[in-house]
Amino acid sequence: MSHVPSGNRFKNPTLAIALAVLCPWPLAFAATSVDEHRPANPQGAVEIDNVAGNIDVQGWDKPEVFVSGSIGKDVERVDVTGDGNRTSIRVVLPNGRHWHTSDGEANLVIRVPTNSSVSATLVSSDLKISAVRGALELRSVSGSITGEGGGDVRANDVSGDIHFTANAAKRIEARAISGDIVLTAGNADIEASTVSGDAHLTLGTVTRARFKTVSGNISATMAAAADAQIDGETVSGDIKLDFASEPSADYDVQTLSGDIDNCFGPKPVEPRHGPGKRLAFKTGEGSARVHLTSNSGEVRLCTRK
Amino acid sequence: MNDRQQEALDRLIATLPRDVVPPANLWPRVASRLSGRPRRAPPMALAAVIAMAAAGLASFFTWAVLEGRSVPRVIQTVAGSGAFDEPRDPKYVLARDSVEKTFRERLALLEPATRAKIESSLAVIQKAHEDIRKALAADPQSAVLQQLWESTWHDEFDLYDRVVQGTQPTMTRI
Repeated sequence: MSHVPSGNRFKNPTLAIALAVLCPWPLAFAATSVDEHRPANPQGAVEIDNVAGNIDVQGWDKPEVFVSGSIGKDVERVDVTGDGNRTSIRVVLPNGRHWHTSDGEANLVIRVPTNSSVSATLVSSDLKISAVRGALELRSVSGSITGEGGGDVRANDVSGDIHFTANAAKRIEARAISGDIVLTAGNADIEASTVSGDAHLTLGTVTRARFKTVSGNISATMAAAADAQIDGETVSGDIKLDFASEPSADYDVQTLSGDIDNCFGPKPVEPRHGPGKRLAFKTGEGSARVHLTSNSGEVRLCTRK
Repeated sequence: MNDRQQEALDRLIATLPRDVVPPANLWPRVASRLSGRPRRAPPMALAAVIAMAAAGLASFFTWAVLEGRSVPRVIQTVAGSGAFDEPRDPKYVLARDSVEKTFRERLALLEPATRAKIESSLAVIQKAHEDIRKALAADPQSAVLQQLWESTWHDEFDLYDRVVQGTQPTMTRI
């Protein structure tokens, strides 16, 4: 694909100069369009690598991967390779190019067979996913990860936010560092962790759940399976769990200086020796376990009314 | 090894790079070299950087696993001494320095705003770790503090690892 004008179209130099002067800069640095089709297994894997820009992945019912969009002039090319079972889409920058400008961005819409699994590794790119039913492994350093998916999800964002809906997933791992997590899911095993970002989780019936934060706040609404194992850990952030109904479970909640606020069960006690509070009790005959640990963050256990 | 130690070790092992994947962009260059055609830029330096980054991370975790058999055991040893300081073993210090160096190099590739957020999060982790270390000095038997101390220690290396792994596309230019 070439954007160099073919032939000598301007016979009049004055007109050519006038056009050149009048031509707006954005046109002078016009992006190159991308239009690549590749046959793909309907249940194949798609891998995406991009450094900067926006990636919009959409599932469709064709056995084909279709990459469209535009790349800045500092982008060398977009490689679309693979054997159908595995398709790789890689945005290639020339070595030495600085990609912190719009000229180094790739803005792509990538259509994949809806049952594909998708793996994306992005640096400064926003990622949007829709109508993909295969497993998703999404990694970004500073862009956001948004959308919805039908398969299991592993989303890992360093400084961007994760906003995702995965109602049919059986297993979800959402990990942010400074970004926030907003997650809606069904009956899935869930692991959610942040360092300083907050997490807001709307979950179905949970069998395994692990929540972890350093200074962010985690709130989750869920129902607990009869054999649920729910663990939470925070240093200074708050953890708030709202259950659909009071789980029949073995509870052990410990804080060192944070408060414990529970809407059911006995009140927490302060140990005779040492700091902190502890809430340990068991309700019903279920084998579920709720184990929460905090340094200075507040822990709250309630049921939705 | 109890379940908690095993779980912590499993988590650490899971952070090890599963493999060192040669950047696909290198292959055309490698192919051209094999066929005797000239290439524009030597790929060896790039490959070396990637290999060193992976080796740095791997060596740290390998050291932790081999030297103490498990990181929790290292932590227990430290905890048992009442100091709750990081190990001063030269191999550990070397491995840690290597990991941090790679992290800093990758961090420098990022936009200033992103760098600032990551630095801020790292500071949050390090402050939490230090606060807990001080609390442990006063209450060395606290199981909660030991758990959080271990956890924040892992968080720091997890942050390094995620930045290094996440910026891999920036290292795969042609």
